[in-house]
Amino acid sequence: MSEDRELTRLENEWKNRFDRFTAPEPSREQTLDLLQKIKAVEEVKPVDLRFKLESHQDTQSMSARTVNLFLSQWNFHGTRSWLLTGIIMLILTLTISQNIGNEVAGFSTWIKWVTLFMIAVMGYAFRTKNEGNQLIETLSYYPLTVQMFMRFMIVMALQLAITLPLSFIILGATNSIYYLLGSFTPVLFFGVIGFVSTIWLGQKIGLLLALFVWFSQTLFEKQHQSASLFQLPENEGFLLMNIVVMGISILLLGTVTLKYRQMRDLT
Amino acid sequence: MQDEEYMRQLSYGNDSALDTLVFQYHKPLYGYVYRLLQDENLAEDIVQDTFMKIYQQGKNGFVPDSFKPWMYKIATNGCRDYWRKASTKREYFTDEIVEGTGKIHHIIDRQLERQWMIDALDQLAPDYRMVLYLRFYQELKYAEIALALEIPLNTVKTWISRGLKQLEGILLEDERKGAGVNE
Repeated sequence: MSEDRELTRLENEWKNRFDRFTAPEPSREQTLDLLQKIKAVEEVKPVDLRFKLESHQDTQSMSARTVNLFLSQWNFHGTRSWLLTGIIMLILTLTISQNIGNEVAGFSTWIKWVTLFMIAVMGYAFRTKNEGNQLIETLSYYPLTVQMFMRFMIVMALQLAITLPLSFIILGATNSIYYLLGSFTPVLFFGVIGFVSTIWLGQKIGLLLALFVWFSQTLFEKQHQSASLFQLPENEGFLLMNIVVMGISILLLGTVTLKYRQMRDLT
Repeated sequence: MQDEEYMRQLSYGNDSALDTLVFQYHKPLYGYVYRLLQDENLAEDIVQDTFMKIYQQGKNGFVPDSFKPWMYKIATNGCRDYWRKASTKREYFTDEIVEGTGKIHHIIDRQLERQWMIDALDQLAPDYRMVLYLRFYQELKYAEIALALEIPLNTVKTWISRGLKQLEGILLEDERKGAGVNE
């Protein structure tokens, strides 16, 4: 309180002394001139929001851009959608593990359902209702291909993060590194098929193609077991098939960069 | 009409709202920037930039909660940018500047009293000068100064108090040296 009083005293004492430092004052003409200048500059260079946005984007670090890209795609579907994926996977796993006594047979059934579910999630993630993404692309933020790739990464990471621990419920003590590989490879493959075919052929055809591969694998598994993707570690061609499937997945993913360049050159 | 309302009008596309704001604040804003930089051309540039920003922000739909502190904040930042860019991390206490002030201010005022005031203020740190100018010449309230300079309210009071005490000290020193011109 005494400090405030002291301040008031000082201010009163000094109030008049400050008048001694005057500054030149602009005339009315100068004010009019200033107004004209402001408006003239604005007329020549209208506010370019896109330019401002791009400049802002350029100043962001790579990590900040990646985080923003991740958040934009995560938010597009919403946390609830992603959590639902995990819940459905858990229900699927528990149902199979409770109803099939034999772990190996259970694993075979489980991985087929998991991959089918993977296709469904991909179909959902790449559904055509993407006005938000088109808007982001229009605003120069992220090209649609990049956005889809981020969504693919989210789906894959989420599915694998859920699948791998759930495989322990199905297999119990019989689980091994080979079984983990046996669950990882088909999930990756169908994820890649869903993603790459959507990029090249569009959402509907892409989804149908992924379903076609899945059904043909399931239906003709017994007749052409050596060509089956759902091989178990007990099968002779297990490792070879896993290597081939991984190789195909990587090659297919590589074609996305080609598509990206094509789309970039078109714009 | 309140200043904020003019900004709202600007955001609706009513350009004449800018005219009112410029007519109302051109002189005080110029005075503030001039006192900080003591260069007419520089002050003109920074005032123009400030109004440009106000105009653009208004056109973009931005309406500040409190116009006056916001305007002084833009202008103050403009001055700070200038100091940074010019790397003129001014040594306000050096003899060189004090000696040079006579030349700098020849166009402003030749009266000795006024010259003494300029010299004395020049010896204060920029932060103290800003609060004093905003308080005594721009007649801003403490809270408005706090908003304009983005500092706590108590800091405003402290800086005003310290700034005035330092001025008092300078005055006494001048008197002691016999150089005081204000009595």
